[in-house]
Amino acid sequence: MRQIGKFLTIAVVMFAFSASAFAQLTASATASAVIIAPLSIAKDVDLHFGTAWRGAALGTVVLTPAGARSATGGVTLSALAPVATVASFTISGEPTRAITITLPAADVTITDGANNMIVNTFVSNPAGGTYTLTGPTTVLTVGATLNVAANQPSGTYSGSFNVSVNYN
Amino acid sequence: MIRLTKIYAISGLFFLINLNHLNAQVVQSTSATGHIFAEIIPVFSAREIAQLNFGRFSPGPQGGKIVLSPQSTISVLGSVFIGTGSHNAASYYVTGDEDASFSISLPSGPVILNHTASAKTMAIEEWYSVPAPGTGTGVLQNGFQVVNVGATLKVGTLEDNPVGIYTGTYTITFDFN
Repeated sequence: MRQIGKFLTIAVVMFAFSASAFAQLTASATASAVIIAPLSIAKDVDLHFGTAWRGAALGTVVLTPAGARSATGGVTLSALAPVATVASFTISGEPTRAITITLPAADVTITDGANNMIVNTFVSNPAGGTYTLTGPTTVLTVGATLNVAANQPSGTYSGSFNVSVNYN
Repeated sequence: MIRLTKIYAISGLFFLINLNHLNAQVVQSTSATGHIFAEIIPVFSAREIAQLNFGRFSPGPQGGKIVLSPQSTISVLGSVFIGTGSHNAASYYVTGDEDASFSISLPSGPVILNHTASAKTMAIEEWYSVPAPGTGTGVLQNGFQVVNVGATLKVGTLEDNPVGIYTGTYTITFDFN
Protein backbone atom coordinates (compact mmCIF):
# COMPACT_ATOMS: atom_id res chain seq x y z
CA MET A 1 0.00 0.00 0.00
CA ARG A 2 2.84 2.43 0.78
CA GLN A 3 4.50 1.86 -2.59
CA ILE A 4 1.42 2.62 -4.52
CA GLY A 5 1.15 5.86 -2.57
CA LYS A 6 4.60 6.98 -3.83
CA PHE A 7 3.82 6.26 -7.45
CA LEU A 8 0.84 8.48 -7.22
CA THR A 9 2.94 11.37 -5.95
CA ILE A 10 5.32 11.10 -8.91
CA ALA A 11 2.42 10.98 -11.32
CA VAL A 12 1.18 14.29 -9.92
CA VAL A 13 4.58 15.92 -10.46
CA MET A 14 4.57 14.75 -14.06
CA PHE A 15 1.23 16.38 -14.61
CA ALA A 16 2.62 19.61 -13.24
CA PHE A 17 5.41 19.59 -15.83
CA SER A 18 2.89 18.99 -18.55
CA ALA A 19 0.95 22.03 -17.40
CA SER A 20 3.97 24.34 -17.81
CA ALA A 21 4.55 22.99 -21.34
CA PHE A 22 1.05 23.97 -22.34
CA ALA A 23 1.66 27.56 -21.18
CA GLN A 24 4.08 28.09 -24.14
CA LEU A 25 6.59 29.98 -22.07
CA THR A 26 10.16 29.91 -23.35
CA ALA A 27 13.37 30.42 -21.48
CA SER A 28 16.92 30.01 -22.65
CA ALA A 29 19.42 28.01 -20.75
CA THR A 30 23.13 27.56 -21.42
CA ALA A 31 24.09 24.05 -22.29
CA SER A 32 27.75 23.43 -21.58
CA ALA A 33 30.10 20.53 -22.00
CA VAL A 34 33.73 20.24 -21.02
CA ILE A 35 35.94 18.24 -23.30
CA ILE A 36 39.32 17.39 -21.77
CA ALA A 37 42.32 15.71 -23.30
CA PRO A 38 42.76 12.07 -22.37
CA LEU A 39 45.42 11.44 -19.74
CA SER A 40 48.33 9.30 -20.77
CA ILE A 41 51.82 8.45 -19.57
CA ALA A 42 54.68 7.03 -21.58
CA LYS A 43 58.16 5.98 -20.57
CA ASP A 44 61.08 7.75 -22.21
CA VAL A 45 64.10 6.59 -20.20
CA ASP A 46 64.62 3.56 -17.94
CA LEU A 47 65.98 3.79 -14.42
CA HIS A 48 69.63 2.75 -14.13
CA PHE A 49 71.57 2.83 -10.88
CA GLY A 50 74.84 2.68 -12.82
CA THR A 51 77.84 0.70 -11.66
CA ALA A 52 78.76 0.15 -8.04
CA TRP A 53 81.40 -1.84 -6.23
CA ARG A 54 79.91 -4.30 -3.81
CA GLY A 55 81.17 -4.30 -0.25
CA ALA A 56 81.67 -6.62 2.70
CA ALA A 57 78.87 -4.71 4.44
CA LEU A 58 75.39 -4.01 3.10
CA GLY A 59 74.62 -0.60 1.69
CA THR A 60 72.49 1.38 -0.70
CA VAL A 61 72.72 3.38 -3.88
CA VAL A 62 70.37 6.37 -3.83
CA LEU A 63 69.42 8.05 -7.11
CA THR A 64 67.47 11.31 -6.80
CA PRO A 65 64.95 12.43 -9.45
CA ALA A 66 67.52 15.09 -10.40
CA GLY A 67 70.06 12.37 -11.21
CA ALA A 68 72.37 12.80 -8.21
CA ARG A 69 73.76 9.47 -7.04
CA SER A 70 75.10 8.63 -3.61
CA ALA A 71 76.06 5.50 -1.71
CA THR A 72 75.76 4.41 1.88
CA GLY A 73 77.20 1.52 3.87
CA GLY A 74 79.63 -0.87 2.21
CA VAL A 75 78.78 0.16 -1.34
CA THR A 76 81.14 2.34 -3.38
CA LEU A 77 80.06 4.14 -6.53
CA SER A 78 82.01 3.50 -9.72
CA ALA A 79 82.22 5.84 -12.69
CA LEU A 80 82.60 2.86 -15.01
CA ALA A 81 79.96 2.17 -17.64
CA PRO A 82 77.08 1.51 -17.55
CA VAL A 83 76.37 4.89 -15.99
CA ALA A 84 73.30 5.92 -14.01
CA THR A 85 70.17 7.42 -15.54
CA VAL A 86 66.97 8.53 -13.82
CA ALA A 87 63.72 7.20 -15.21
CA SER A 88 61.79 9.71 -17.28
CA PHE A 89 58.14 9.64 -18.28
CA THR A 90 56.00 12.04 -20.30
CA ILE A 91 52.52 12.72 -18.93
CA SER A 92 50.05 14.11 -21.46
CA GLY A 93 46.77 15.61 -20.30
CA GLU A 94 44.61 18.69 -19.97
CA PRO A 95 46.43 21.76 -18.58
CA THR A 96 45.17 23.04 -15.21
CA ARG A 97 43.57 19.69 -14.39
CA ALA A 98 44.58 17.99 -11.15
CA ILE A 99 45.92 14.48 -11.41
CA THR A 100 47.29 11.91 -9.01
CA ILE A 101 50.72 10.45 -9.68
CA THR A 102 51.19 7.00 -8.14
CA LEU A 103 54.67 5.54 -7.67
CA PRO A 104 55.35 1.96 -6.54
CA ALA A 105 54.63 1.73 -2.81
CA ALA A 106 55.93 -1.81 -2.41
CA ASP A 107 59.45 -3.16 -2.83
CA VAL A 108 60.45 -4.02 -6.39
CA THR A 109 62.80 -6.97 -6.89
CA ILE A 110 65.42 -6.84 -9.61
CA THR A 111 67.25 -10.01 -10.54
CA ASP A 112 70.30 -11.45 -12.24
CA GLY A 113 69.73 -15.17 -12.56
CA ALA A 114 69.13 -16.53 -9.07
CA ASN A 115 70.45 -13.38 -7.38
CA ASN A 116 68.29 -10.42 -6.55
CA MET A 117 68.20 -6.97 -4.97
CA ILE A 118 65.40 -4.79 -3.65
CA VAL A 119 64.55 -1.37 -5.06
CA ASN A 120 62.28 0.88 -3.00
CA THR A 121 61.68 4.45 -1.80
CA PHE A 122 60.67 5.68 -5.24
CA VAL A 123 60.68 9.47 -5.47
CA SER A 124 59.71 11.68 -8.37
CA ASN A 125 59.72 15.22 -9.66
CA PRO A 126 56.96 16.38 -9.64
CA ALA A 127 56.38 14.42 -6.44
CA GLY A 128 53.94 11.54 -6.21
CA GLY A 129 50.41 12.45 -5.11
CA THR A 130 48.25 15.29 -6.37
CA TYR A 131 49.70 17.45 -9.10
CA THR A 132 48.11 20.12 -11.27
CA LEU A 133 49.10 19.88 -14.90
CA THR A 134 50.64 23.13 -16.14
CA GLY A 135 50.87 22.31 -19.84
CA PRO A 136 49.83 19.68 -22.34
CA THR A 137 52.86 17.55 -21.42
CA THR A 138 54.78 17.14 -18.18
CA VAL A 139 58.10 15.37 -17.78
CA LEU A 140 58.16 13.14 -14.71
CA THR A 141 61.58 11.99 -13.49
CA VAL A 142 61.82 9.10 -11.04
CA GLY A 143 64.63 8.01 -8.75
CA ALA A 144 64.77 5.28 -6.11
CA THR A 145 66.96 3.46 -3.61
CA LEU A 146 68.84 0.27 -4.48
CA ASN A 147 69.54 -2.04 -1.54
CA VAL A 148 72.78 -3.97 -1.96
CA ALA A 149 73.49 -6.90 0.34
CA ALA A 150 76.90 -7.61 1.84
CA ASN A 151 79.03 -9.34 -0.82
CA GLN A 152 76.20 -9.02 -3.35
CA PRO A 153 77.16 -11.22 -6.31
CA SER A 154 78.39 -9.14 -9.21
CA GLY A 155 76.20 -8.96 -12.29
CA THR A 156 73.69 -6.97 -14.29
CA TYR A 157 70.39 -6.85 -12.43
CA SER A 158 67.11 -5.85 -14.02
CA GLY A 159 63.43 -5.54 -13.20
CA SER A 160 60.50 -3.23 -13.85
CA PHE A 161 58.13 -0.88 -12.06
CA ASN A 162 54.89 0.94 -12.86
CA VAL A 163 53.97 4.58 -12.57
CA SER A 164 50.30 5.46 -12.98
CA VAL A 165 48.38 8.71 -13.31
CA ASN A 166 44.68 9.50 -13.11
CA TYR A 167 42.48 12.57 -13.18
CA ASN A 168 41.20 13.59 -9.75
CA MET B 1 -1.55 0.49 -14.96
CA ILE B 2 0.02 2.32 -17.93
CA ARG B 3 1.50 5.04 -15.70
CA LEU B 4 3.20 2.49 -13.47
CA THR B 5 5.00 1.02 -16.47
CA LYS B 6 6.38 4.45 -17.43
CA ILE B 7 7.83 5.04 -13.98
CA TYR B 8 9.73 1.80 -14.11
CA ALA B 9 11.29 2.79 -17.41
CA ILE B 10 12.56 6.08 -15.95
CA SER B 11 14.23 4.45 -12.97
CA GLY B 12 15.96 2.01 -15.34
CA LEU B 13 17.43 4.95 -17.28
CA PHE B 14 19.00 6.39 -14.16
CA PHE B 15 20.91 3.18 -13.57
CA LEU B 16 22.37 3.28 -17.06
CA ILE B 17 23.68 6.81 -16.56
CA ASN B 18 25.33 5.85 -13.30
CA LEU B 19 27.10 2.94 -14.93
CA ASN B 20 28.44 5.17 -17.71
CA HIS B 21 29.78 7.58 -15.12
CA LEU B 22 31.70 4.81 -13.39
CA ASN B 23 33.18 3.59 -16.66
CA ALA B 24 34.39 7.07 -17.53
CA GLN B 25 36.40 7.34 -14.31
CA VAL B 26 38.12 4.02 -14.84
CA VAL B 27 39.30 5.05 -18.31
CA GLN B 28 41.05 8.17 -16.89
CA SER B 29 43.72 6.08 -15.13
CA THR B 30 46.75 5.13 -17.13
CA SER B 31 50.13 3.72 -16.30
CA ALA B 32 53.52 3.13 -17.87
CA THR B 33 56.22 0.60 -17.07
CA GLY B 34 59.85 1.55 -16.61
CA HIS B 35 62.72 -0.88 -16.35
CA ILE B 36 65.30 -0.84 -13.61
CA PHE B 37 68.94 -1.79 -14.07
CA ALA B 38 71.93 -1.93 -11.76
CA GLU B 39 75.47 -3.14 -12.33
CA ILE B 40 77.31 -4.63 -9.37
CA ILE B 41 81.03 -5.23 -9.74
CA PRO B 42 83.45 -6.89 -7.33
CA VAL B 43 85.84 -5.02 -5.13
CA PHE B 44 88.93 -4.83 -7.27
CA SER B 45 92.13 -4.13 -5.42
CA ALA B 46 95.84 -3.97 -6.08
CA ARG B 47 98.66 -3.56 -3.60
CA GLU B 48 102.40 -3.42 -3.92
CA ILE B 49 103.99 -6.48 -2.37
CA ALA B 50 107.56 -5.71 -3.53
CA GLN B 51 109.18 -2.40 -4.37
CA LEU B 52 111.18 -1.84 -7.52
CA ASN B 53 114.82 -1.96 -6.42
CA PHE B 54 117.80 -1.75 -8.78
CA GLY B 55 120.14 -2.71 -5.94
CA ARG B 56 123.71 -1.44 -5.57
CA PHE B 57 125.92 -0.43 -8.44
CA SER B 58 128.80 1.87 -9.33
CA PRO B 59 128.76 4.30 -12.23
CA GLY B 60 131.72 4.07 -14.61
CA PRO B 61 133.39 6.83 -16.63
CA GLN B 62 130.75 6.99 -19.38
CA GLY B 63 127.62 5.93 -17.55
CA GLY B 64 125.21 3.33 -18.90
CA LYS B 65 121.96 1.52 -18.21
CA ILE B 66 120.70 -1.11 -15.82
CA VAL B 67 117.94 -3.36 -17.09
CA LEU B 68 115.85 -5.04 -14.42
CA SER B 69 113.46 -7.55 -15.94
CA PRO B 70 110.02 -8.35 -14.50
CA GLN B 71 111.54 -11.72 -13.56
CA SER B 72 114.05 -9.84 -11.35
CA THR B 73 117.10 -10.61 -13.49
CA ILE B 74 119.51 -7.71 -13.85
CA SER B 75 121.81 -6.81 -16.71
CA VAL B 76 123.89 -3.73 -17.55
CA LEU B 77 124.71 -1.76 -20.66
CA GLY B 78 127.70 0.59 -20.81
CA SER B 79 130.03 1.36 -17.94
CA VAL B 80 128.01 0.45 -14.91
CA PHE B 81 129.22 -2.12 -12.41
CA ILE B 82 126.78 -4.19 -10.38
CA GLY B 83 127.63 -4.38 -6.70
CA THR B 84 126.61 -6.86 -4.06
CA GLY B 85 123.20 -6.74 -2.42
CA SER B 86 119.65 -7.47 -3.41
CA HIS B 87 117.66 -6.18 -6.32
CA ASN B 88 114.17 -7.08 -7.36
CA ALA B 89 111.36 -6.24 -9.72
CA ALA B 90 108.20 -4.69 -8.35
CA SER B 91 105.26 -6.99 -7.62
CA TYR B 92 101.59 -6.18 -7.31
CA TYR B 93 98.91 -8.44 -5.93
CA VAL B 94 95.66 -7.83 -7.82
CA THR B 95 92.38 -9.31 -6.57
CA GLY B 96 88.77 -9.36 -7.79
CA ASP B 97 86.20 -11.71 -9.27
CA GLU B 98 87.41 -15.08 -10.46
CA ASP B 99 88.41 -15.07 -14.15
CA ALA B 100 87.79 -11.33 -14.50
CA SER B 101 90.21 -9.59 -16.83
CA PHE B 102 91.89 -6.25 -16.29
CA SER B 103 94.11 -3.80 -18.13
CA ILE B 104 97.64 -2.78 -17.15
CA SER B 105 99.01 0.70 -17.85
CA LEU B 106 102.66 1.47 -17.13
CA PRO B 107 104.13 4.98 -16.84
CA SER B 108 104.20 6.53 -20.30
CA GLY B 109 107.21 8.81 -19.81
CA PRO B 110 110.47 8.78 -17.87
CA VAL B 111 110.28 8.73 -14.10
CA ILE B 112 112.89 10.74 -12.23
CA LEU B 113 114.74 9.40 -9.17
CA ASN B 114 116.18 12.03 -6.85
CA HIS B 115 119.44 11.81 -4.92
CA THR B 116 118.58 12.06 -1.24
CA ALA B 117 121.62 14.29 -0.51
CA SER B 118 121.76 16.54 -3.59
CA ALA B 119 119.80 17.77 -6.59
CA LYS B 120 121.25 15.05 -8.86
CA THR B 121 118.81 12.74 -10.60
CA MET B 122 118.55 9.53 -12.58
CA ALA B 123 115.77 8.57 -14.95
CA ILE B 124 113.88 5.33 -15.44
CA GLU B 125 113.40 5.20 -19.20
CA GLU B 126 111.48 2.07 -20.02
CA TRP B 127 108.97 -0.09 -18.25
CA TYR B 128 108.06 -3.76 -18.64
CA SER B 129 105.51 -5.99 -17.00
CA VAL B 130 104.35 -9.59 -16.87
CA PRO B 131 101.57 -9.88 -17.92
CA ALA B 132 102.38 -7.34 -20.64
CA PRO B 133 100.74 -3.90 -20.50
CA GLY B 134 97.54 -3.54 -22.53
CA THR B 135 93.80 -3.95 -22.44
CA GLY B 136 92.56 -7.08 -20.74
CA THR B 137 95.99 -8.68 -20.52
CA GLY B 138 95.57 -9.53 -16.84
CA VAL B 139 93.29 -12.39 -15.80
CA LEU B 140 92.26 -13.14 -12.22
CA GLN B 141 92.48 -16.92 -12.22
CA ASN B 142 91.20 -18.03 -8.80
CA GLY B 143 90.43 -14.37 -8.12
CA PHE B 144 93.99 -13.01 -8.03
CA GLN B 145 97.09 -12.36 -10.08
CA VAL B 146 100.59 -11.17 -9.33
CA VAL B 147 101.85 -8.54 -11.76
CA ASN B 148 105.63 -8.12 -11.92
CA VAL B 149 107.14 -4.87 -13.16
CA GLY B 150 110.67 -4.19 -14.33
CA ALA B 151 112.37 -1.16 -15.85
CA THR B 152 115.50 0.29 -17.39
CA LEU B 153 117.45 2.84 -15.34
CA LYS B 154 119.76 5.30 -17.08
CA VAL B 155 122.87 5.93 -15.04
CA GLY B 156 125.22 8.89 -15.63
CA THR B 157 128.88 9.30 -14.77
CA LEU B 158 130.09 9.38 -11.19
CA GLU B 159 129.98 13.18 -11.45
CA ASP B 160 126.36 13.07 -12.68
CA ASN B 161 125.35 10.49 -10.13
CA PRO B 162 127.31 10.76 -6.90
CA VAL B 163 127.26 7.93 -4.39
CA GLY B 164 124.05 7.71 -2.38
CA ILE B 165 120.43 6.65 -2.47
CA TYR B 166 118.09 7.69 -5.27
CA THR B 167 114.35 7.38 -4.83
CA GLY B 168 111.23 8.22 -6.77
CA THR B 169 107.65 7.17 -7.26
CA TYR B 170 105.69 6.04 -10.26
CA THR B 171 102.12 5.09 -10.99
CA ILE B 172 100.91 1.85 -12.46
CA THR B 173 97.24 1.57 -13.28
CA PHE B 174 95.07 -1.53 -13.27
CA ASP B 175 91.67 -1.06 -14.91
CA PHE B 176 88.83 -3.43 -14.36
CA ASN B 177 87.22 -3.95 -17.76
